[in-house]
Amino acid sequence: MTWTKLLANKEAQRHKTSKKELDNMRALIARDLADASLAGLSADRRFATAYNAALQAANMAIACAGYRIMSKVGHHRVSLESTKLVLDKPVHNYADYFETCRRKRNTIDYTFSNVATETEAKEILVQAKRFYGEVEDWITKNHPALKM
Amino acid sequence: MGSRTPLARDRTRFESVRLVCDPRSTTRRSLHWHFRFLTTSEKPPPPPVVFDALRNMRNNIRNMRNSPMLTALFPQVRQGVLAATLGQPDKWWYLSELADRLGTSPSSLQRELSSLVSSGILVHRREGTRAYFKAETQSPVFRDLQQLFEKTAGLAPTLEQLLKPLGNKIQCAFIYGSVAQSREHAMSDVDVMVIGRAGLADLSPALRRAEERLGREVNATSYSPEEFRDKLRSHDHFLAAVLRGRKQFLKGGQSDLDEIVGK
Repeated sequence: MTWTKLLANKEAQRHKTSKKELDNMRALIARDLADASLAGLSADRRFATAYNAALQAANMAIACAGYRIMSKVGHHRVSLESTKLVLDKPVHNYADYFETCRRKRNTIDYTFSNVATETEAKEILVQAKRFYGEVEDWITKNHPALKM
Repeated sequence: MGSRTPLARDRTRFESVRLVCDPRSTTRRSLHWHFRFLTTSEKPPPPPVVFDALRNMRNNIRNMRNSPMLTALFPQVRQGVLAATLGQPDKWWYLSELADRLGTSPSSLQRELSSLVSSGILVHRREGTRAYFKAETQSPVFRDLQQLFEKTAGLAPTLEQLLKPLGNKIQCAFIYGSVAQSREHAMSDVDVMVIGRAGLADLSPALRRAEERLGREVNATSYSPEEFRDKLRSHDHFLAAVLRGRKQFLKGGQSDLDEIVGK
């Protein structure tokens, strides 16, 4: 996967982000991370909400790199996978992890209930927070004008 | 069983008889089995670990025989020969060793073996009166055939190998659903249940590698032992259905599962 291919396939487009846009995404992530911690919600809903926070964190990194993933079939997979083009190598394992979570979240949202286990819901919240932290660190280092 | 056995001498003293494998007397070629008599007051010992390994091996071999896609392509005996030789391509198989593994007689393998050797899929060598067979790794179809068997018959051994580095983080892991029941079709996902301290983050790199090798989606569900136990006690219908169905163990066995549940 390269940006050239993604642009040619119309899976991505060039995009100039702003601090305001990123701050909106930060607020969305903060909301989702808070909601995913609510004990009263089902494991499925907490899982899907934490996944959404991670996806937005991936989109933040992509936006800082100067791109936006087009909204078409499979765009979540493309967003997660293309973080490998943006972030440093130690962070690449997150892309594989959230890809596993993406499929589970699809099943949760469209097919079955009681899919995520408590173990998985707790884990994704921890992983989403860590991933978001990595993205903010990367922004601070590489795009200081856009940092929090 | 003759009259010299303790069971025959005093039937009332013994509640059960167990066939046990003594790991200390296990050699490369054979396993030594003996009967152990348990008195009514004696609690049955936990089954030795070697049982799980043997059970998993037996189940994997059974699955090799039952892969619906392979059954559609090859006759039973040829499937078994190819699964064994392509699964361990560097190994020279002695004829009766191969027959033992497939649970058949050496004579019933002769025709398949000579046909596979003459077509260049297997190679053959003789040492005295003994005949040995091995996959012909130089054959132009070797890699394709190996991949075909890996994606069908070799599914469980491949996953087992990829999960191995996670060691004690996994207490028990098994395939369930259509693949475990040998009712899968070409596009079926592989459903894996993992119980232990390994979460999806630990499992994901192994799952991605497995998908690349098997050409199928592998979906895992992970439980901590506590959650697994609690859900079963609260009669979780998904878990109950999974446990009632057929399983192919990748790590541990039924005894480990029983131990987690607290049976």
